[in-house]
Amino acid sequence: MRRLGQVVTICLGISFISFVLLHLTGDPVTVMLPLDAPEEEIALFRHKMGFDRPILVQYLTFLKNAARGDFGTSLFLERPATSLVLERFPASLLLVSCGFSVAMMIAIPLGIISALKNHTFIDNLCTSVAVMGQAMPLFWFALMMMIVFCIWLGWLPVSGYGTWKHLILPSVSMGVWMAPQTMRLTRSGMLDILSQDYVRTARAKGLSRRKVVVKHAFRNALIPVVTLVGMQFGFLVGAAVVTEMVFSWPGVASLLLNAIRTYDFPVVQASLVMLALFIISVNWAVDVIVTIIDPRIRDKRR
Amino acid sequence: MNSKRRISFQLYRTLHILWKLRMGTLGSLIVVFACCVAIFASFIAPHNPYEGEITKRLMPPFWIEGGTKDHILGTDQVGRDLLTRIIFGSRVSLVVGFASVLISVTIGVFLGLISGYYGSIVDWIISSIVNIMLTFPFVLLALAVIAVVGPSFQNMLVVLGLTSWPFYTRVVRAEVLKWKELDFVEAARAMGMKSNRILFSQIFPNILNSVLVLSSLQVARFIILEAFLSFLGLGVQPPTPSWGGMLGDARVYMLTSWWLATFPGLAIFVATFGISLMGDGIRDFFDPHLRYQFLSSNLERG
Amino acid sequence: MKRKRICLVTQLVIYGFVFLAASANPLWAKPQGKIFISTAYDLPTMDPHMHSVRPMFTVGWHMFDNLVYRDPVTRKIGPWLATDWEILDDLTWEFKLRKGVKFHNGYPFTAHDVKFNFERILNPDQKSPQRAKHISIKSVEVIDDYTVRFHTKNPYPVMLERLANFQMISEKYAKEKGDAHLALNPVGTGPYKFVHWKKGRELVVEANEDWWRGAPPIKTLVWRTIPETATQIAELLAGGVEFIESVPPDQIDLINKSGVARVMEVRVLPVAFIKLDGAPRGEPNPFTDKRVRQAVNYAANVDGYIEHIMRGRAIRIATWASPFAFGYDPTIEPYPYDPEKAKQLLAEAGYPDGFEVRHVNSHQRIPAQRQFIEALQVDLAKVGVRMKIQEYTDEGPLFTLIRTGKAGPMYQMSWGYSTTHDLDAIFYEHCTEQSFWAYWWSDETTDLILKARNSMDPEYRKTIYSKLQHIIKEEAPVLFMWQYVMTYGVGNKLDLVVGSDEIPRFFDARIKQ
Repeated sequence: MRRLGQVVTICLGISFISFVLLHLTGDPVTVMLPLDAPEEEIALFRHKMGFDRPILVQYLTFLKNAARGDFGTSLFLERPATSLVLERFPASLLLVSCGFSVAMMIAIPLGIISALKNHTFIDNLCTSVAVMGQAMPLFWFALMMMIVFCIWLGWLPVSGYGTWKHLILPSVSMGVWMAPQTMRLTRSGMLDILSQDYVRTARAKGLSRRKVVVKHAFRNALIPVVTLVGMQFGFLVGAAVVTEMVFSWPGVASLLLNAIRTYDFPVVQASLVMLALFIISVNWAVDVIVTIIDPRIRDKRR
Repeated sequence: MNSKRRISFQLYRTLHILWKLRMGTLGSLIVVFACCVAIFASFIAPHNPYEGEITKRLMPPFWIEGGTKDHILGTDQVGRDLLTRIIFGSRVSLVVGFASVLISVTIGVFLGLISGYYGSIVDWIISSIVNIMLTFPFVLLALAVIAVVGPSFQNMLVVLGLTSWPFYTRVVRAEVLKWKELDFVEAARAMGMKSNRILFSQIFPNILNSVLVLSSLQVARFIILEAFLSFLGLGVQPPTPSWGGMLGDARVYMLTSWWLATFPGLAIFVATFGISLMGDGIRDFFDPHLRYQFLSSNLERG
Repeated sequence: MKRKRICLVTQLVIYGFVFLAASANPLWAKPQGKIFISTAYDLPTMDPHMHSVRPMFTVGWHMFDNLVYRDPVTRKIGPWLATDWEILDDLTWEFKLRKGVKFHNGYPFTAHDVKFNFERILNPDQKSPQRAKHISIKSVEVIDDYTVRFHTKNPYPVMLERLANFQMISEKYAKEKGDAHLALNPVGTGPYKFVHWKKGRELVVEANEDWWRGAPPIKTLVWRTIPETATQIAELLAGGVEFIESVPPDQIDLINKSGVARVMEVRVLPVAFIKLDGAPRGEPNPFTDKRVRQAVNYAANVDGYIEHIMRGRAIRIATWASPFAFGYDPTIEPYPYDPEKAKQLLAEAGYPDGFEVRHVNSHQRIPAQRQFIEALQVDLAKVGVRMKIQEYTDEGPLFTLIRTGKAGPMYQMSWGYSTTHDLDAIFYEHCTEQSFWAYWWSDETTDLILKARNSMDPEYRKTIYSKLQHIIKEEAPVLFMWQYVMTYGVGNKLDLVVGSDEIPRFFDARIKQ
């Protein structure tokens, strides 16, 4: 119940931010009407669309409709903004989850190895690679991969959407972008756990190192990783903007970018609110997962 | 008192710490170097960063045929010296990094302190806002704002600063909650100290470490974000040189004039690498586990 | 003598073959093959009347037909859906329509459709962005099924030019289905039938084998939205698409040497210039002084930008009159590059130390646009004019500024003439008081422009436009630059012609065997 209240507050906040922001800074009327429309026509149109009413009234109307999933029709295409966004959602979801998986596949093993080999050459190497990965702008890496794998080697298609081959480069670039941070989290989480009493006890009891790591340490080290990954999801969506643009991926982020540029308010609002909802549900799922992994938290919550 | 022995002990200890934190030391050296370059740009740079000759466009670095010693790293698409642009670009990148961090630290730490210390309704309001901001894909928000108000250096600073303070608030709030319960704070309260004073004179210094560590990571992130915004055409306005802007402009030249993307990319890379290492160093320095390992007890705060 | 005759015969034979091969529909060929075309912009709608963006016009040309057609080589206007026309008097045109033309859904194309199309676009409630282009048409009268008569408000010399880019939809279909349906399900008479459109992703069309001109040679066209230039080039080089728009001049060699694609250079109608707020429509600024505007023209090394930045892919022009437009006067010389003269003029105008000025720019996907602005910035700084650049990612905000008179004192513009090859399309818009595009005008120019606009006598119009070009050159309301040479990246297996109206004729293109 408390969770639901939080979700509602977050949605209200986000809708308010996106609403006020766009309405105060841009005038959609000038973009929507022919450039040489006479002044009376503009005034009439503004009235018809309700742009001349007080901003609060506009916001309330907007909220009332948004609650029913109606964000209005796209200003350029006679279609509901909601359906435009929903249509693009699967593509983004696919991209984000694949990028996420790639990140995990790189980050978790490396993080564990570097924690186990703390302050050795291998650890330093892994940490350095992670820092380097963080220092690399996403679009640069994406374009480099495009040049190597598509133009020079000709193994993969450059851009677009459809087959699994189209998916490889975008998800790898997003994964590589996200992996370093996750790796560092895994490493420090792992280090924390390894130094704790029960792990030492387990070792002292004569359990093999491997068994301790897999059975006790890893499971517990995952908790901060999973929690922070939930928080990182917002960033991943941000990274999706660049990835979708570079690889012409038909997802929500590119729709949003385009809508921002053309001042297509209903689409901007619909996609922002729906992305936020998506991120909230991921965070919620993360919480559930954490509770499953760690019974202590469940007890604390009660 | 054997002062000579004491000095040599001090020296030994310092060197020991530096060696233990060798990666962090390297990082700090890189950062200091970058700052020096930024400050003394006009003395170091061989040319004027704004003046180019269009007859000398796209000259390669000097070791490649067609390049000259006059332009060591070659020239850019308008005929300006690339090395000079990179040297001057350090100003924008570092200022964006540090100034945005300053803005977000100021807001974030202040709200975090209040939220953690006073609790109740204040805490609830601030935490809700933080939740909203953290859930929101803030890169998209930054993008939307800059796209409508028009890109400029100041706008970028403000937007980056205003959208990333919640991280500080969250961390600081957690720290305050931890410190609040500790004995010395209780003692101060018992002695009749006012809340404001307790907050700023007793608690604040103790959380500086975490803020410092977080900030160093944020500086690196902002430098990358500057590149990201420039890629989308929302960065610093031409002809002001910035690493991200140069890299963004060079993206169509990656197959023809590789040096245009490579050297600014390298600059971003080295700088963020240095800053991240420095951040790790700071963290290790303040980490109680590690500190215990190599610091003698007299350094402990009483 | 005999040898000559043999030559002649061979030549005739060769020409015959060439002619057969070049005609749209060799009798033995069925449409085949599939090509991918890249477009940088997201296509806004499939309704040909509810947009005014060029990529959508290109798409529109392949699903719909215009009444008349501009030959891409000679640039002359010839018949298309209209077979013949006659000017009855200064205010009346009569068009004969092609018989037996059918829309993709089988509905016949008649004079009633023509009438409907114009009434639709001219209806203020329709809010068509193309309305202004046809505002001179008063009414359309149906004489019989295949004859229409246009009544114009005033003499309308550019009628045919405007009709060459106005696509016909079916009255019956539009009335049955409504606007919302039309925006997603286009039905035209054109060479290709709509298959499907995934907004922001791809548009697929397939050859209309019953096209009145005969089926087009290529069976399937796919437009893919690829916003990023670097990605477009990579796609072209990797063979993923066969056509990309506006290759940056510095990348031409790369593509030509790649062995898989080439760059087609096409001299097109549009021109580039930089507007100076001389009226002033915004706040008072130095450009209200003619000498300052001239100084800017002397200070810019436009030939240098063309040679080094555009790599020769632009044609220097004296004014904003495109050499491809009716009324162009080739005798006028452009301003020479003369910084000394510029300094002197600035000093005379009272700015011996120059001044600072804002310049507004937008990423319009114009080749090397950012670079020549930066080069210009360097040149102007040399005479003391310090440009502060404000750059927007989209045309939208810039247009809003222009419209409200706040774009000055300096902003970048390229003018496509709305594919109208006539100087009326620039002078009326950019130099008369009633147009919001205009940031400088005088009573004299307004008067002359209206005179030329309201005359059907080509010779008279020519003399007026010549006079206007002389005035404009002297008054320098803008920094005059160049006529564009567009650089299209085309896959080597594709044979294609692009017209001066920037429309690639994919319906006449073929895939090399």
